[in-house]
Amino acid sequence: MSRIPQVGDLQIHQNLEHSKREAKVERVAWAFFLLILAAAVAGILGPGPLSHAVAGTRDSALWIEYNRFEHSRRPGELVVHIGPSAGGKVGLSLSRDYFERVQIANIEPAPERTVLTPEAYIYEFARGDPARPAAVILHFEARRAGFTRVRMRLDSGAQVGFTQFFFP
Amino acid sequence: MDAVVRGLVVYFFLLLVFRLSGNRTLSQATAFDLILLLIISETVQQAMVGTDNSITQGLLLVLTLVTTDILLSVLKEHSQVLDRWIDGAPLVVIDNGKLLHDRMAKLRVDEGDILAAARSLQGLERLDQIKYAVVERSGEITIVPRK
Repeated sequence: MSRIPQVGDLQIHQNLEHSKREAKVERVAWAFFLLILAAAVAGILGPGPLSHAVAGTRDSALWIEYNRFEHSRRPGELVVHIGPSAGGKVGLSLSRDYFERVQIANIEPAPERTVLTPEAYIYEFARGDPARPAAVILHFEARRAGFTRVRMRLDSGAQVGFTQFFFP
Repeated sequence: MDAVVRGLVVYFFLLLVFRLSGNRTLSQATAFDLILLLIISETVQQAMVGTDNSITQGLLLVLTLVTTDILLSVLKEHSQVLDRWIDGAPLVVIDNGKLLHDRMAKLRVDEGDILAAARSLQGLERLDQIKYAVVERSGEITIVPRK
């Protein structure tokens, strides 16, 4: 039979050393909880101010708005800005390795056609007014967590690359 | 495999968060605590089930949670240290009529909480009628009155 310690007349499994240690651990954990929440609000654990980024130079031939940190199995989007071009058509290629982790749910506006090559998917769009900039929105959802490198290229030769991290 | 991993992650995350938030956090459920619990269960359910709403996924999750709970209870039986870290330890906050304020502050218990427990459990009217007050592992306050 185990001996139950006594506090005054009370038989109780009180352990002051453990309770002190536990109180310290709790206080550290509360501070850690606050840090995690602050990181989430700032956009380190998903979309937010620190997560939002631009790849490429604004108002150049090709620049993209994206989030550095996303969540897997959550809809996200890439806004692809295309500068003025000479022709009435534009081809946007997206490296194929991106699709190993990410599934494109929808493209706005819908491309006229999609071309598959061993290295990339090429989306072709017709431009109403080639002299003015345009934007294409890619709605996606990551299937798996982890880092992924994105490379996009226009048929004119302009290209940008960036990395995204998908939290589980 | 997905169901088991999700179940385990959620189980241990909740165990950690509720354990570190202190024994008293949900010990005396007020109306708001009840709402909080409902919101947490709904949020966690989404994370566990994901996009798989099949019966297999649901049954596997239940089995994962119950089995993990059984395994932990077996481990706690064999290790007092683990038992203390998972379920905590009781702490005396009134010792032979003396209020132990430093312990009360650590546990976020005030005289009002002790008096409320004394009234509801023993029908006592004043602090000086209490010999011992203990914050139990569950976070509840138990009272031993003076004879």
